[in-house]
Amino acid sequence: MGWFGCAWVLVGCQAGSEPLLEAHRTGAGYWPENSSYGLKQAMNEGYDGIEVDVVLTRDLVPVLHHDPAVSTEHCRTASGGAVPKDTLIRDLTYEELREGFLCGGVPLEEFDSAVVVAEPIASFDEMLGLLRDVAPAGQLIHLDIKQEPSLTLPPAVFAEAVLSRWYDAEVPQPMHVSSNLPDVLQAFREEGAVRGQSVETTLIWPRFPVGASTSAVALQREGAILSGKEDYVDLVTQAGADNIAINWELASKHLLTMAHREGVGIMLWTPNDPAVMRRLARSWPVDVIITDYPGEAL
Amino acid sequence: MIGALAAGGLLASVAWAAPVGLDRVDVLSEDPGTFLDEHVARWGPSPTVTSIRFAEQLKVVIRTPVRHLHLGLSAASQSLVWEPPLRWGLGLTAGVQTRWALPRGGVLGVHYRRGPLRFGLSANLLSGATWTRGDWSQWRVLPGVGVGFGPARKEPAPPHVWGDPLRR
Repeated sequence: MGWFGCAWVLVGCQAGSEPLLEAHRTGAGYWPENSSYGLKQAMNEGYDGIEVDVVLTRDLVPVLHHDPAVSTEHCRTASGGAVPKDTLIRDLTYEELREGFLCGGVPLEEFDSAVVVAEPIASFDEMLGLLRDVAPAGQLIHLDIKQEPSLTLPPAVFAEAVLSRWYDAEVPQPMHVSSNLPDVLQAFREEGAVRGQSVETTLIWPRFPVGASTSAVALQREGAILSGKEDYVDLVTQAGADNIAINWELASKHLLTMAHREGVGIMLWTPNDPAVMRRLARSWPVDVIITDYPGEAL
Repeated sequence: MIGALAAGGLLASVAWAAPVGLDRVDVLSEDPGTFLDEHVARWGPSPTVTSIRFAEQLKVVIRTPVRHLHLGLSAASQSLVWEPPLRWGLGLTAGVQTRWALPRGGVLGVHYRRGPLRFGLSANLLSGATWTRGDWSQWRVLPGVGVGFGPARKEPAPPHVWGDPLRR
């Protein structure tokens, strides 16, 4: 890997070029996250990329949802009631999930100008259909695998269910897989190899385990970086990944610069302030910015 | 080169042992140089993390027994810096900086000292070396600005190497 090299094999990033903008959870600042509505809009808008979260149902159907459990914040039961806490998606069949819940119909304070549309949870197959029929061929698809030990099915089951559908669909869009767990990335690379495909993988950092205090996790990771016990290149190497996706607030520009020079693809999540995005695009070594507002000009 | 400068300074000044004690506290540290480069601009949109990064670079500077050789300790950087005075309050700044005892770069610049105030301008030569990845092949040069406060003191004049002229 050379000076200012880049592992971004599918898109072919170059140092000094403007970073790509990925629609975080299909563009949660504009419409319901991970929704069919959001997917169609983001595809029609032709954003550089779309990031979606993937969870697996009991009958091994991948669906687009951020958490291992049906969101109590974004979703309601089909009859309009509150979603019981800890309704794990791995315990429901796809039909039960689709018939039992509507998501996206709840206005959110965080995204108060976003469109509010209640829909059943979108399936991965729906997304593949839209990729064939609606999306530009070059639109980068980012699959963030929400495998969570003890709350979801194992990594290998995710990899088989997701990649079999992806490659069978023969969609033209480039794709990469991300996770905050190296085991998940490994499972996807292995499953890809079985299918004769090279799966590009991205390590998400830091990992915020479900239910953990984000402040405590952030402070721990800050200490590890500060003391030199953790290093972005080392993290990516250990995970066997091509890229690293880092929380923009916690990121060290210095260490990112070093990683970028080593050929690691750099993604930052989730700056939403246009001025911040422009500053990052101008002066940071970043290949992809993942944002809830991908329509903002850099 | 910076290491050699610091070592040279150490040898040149070792004869003039100085009392150990607090030299100053830097509210803005010249090393490692990352605060100005990447954090200041994030203060508005990310005040909590930036405040933590600010606290990490606050540096206590201690005088060592070796004259003009100072030990700087902050969470972000630990440095050994030679700071001999030149004239008109100006002085040289040259030293090595570490990440928790792992050498990772150097600092070279000038400083101005008047009363309790110390103001410094320097260039930081910073590698990407960490304890998990001892790689000194990649370097960046970052500007450093230092603002520190410490007890005002009068530097004792160094002895003339040819003896005291009044005794001749």
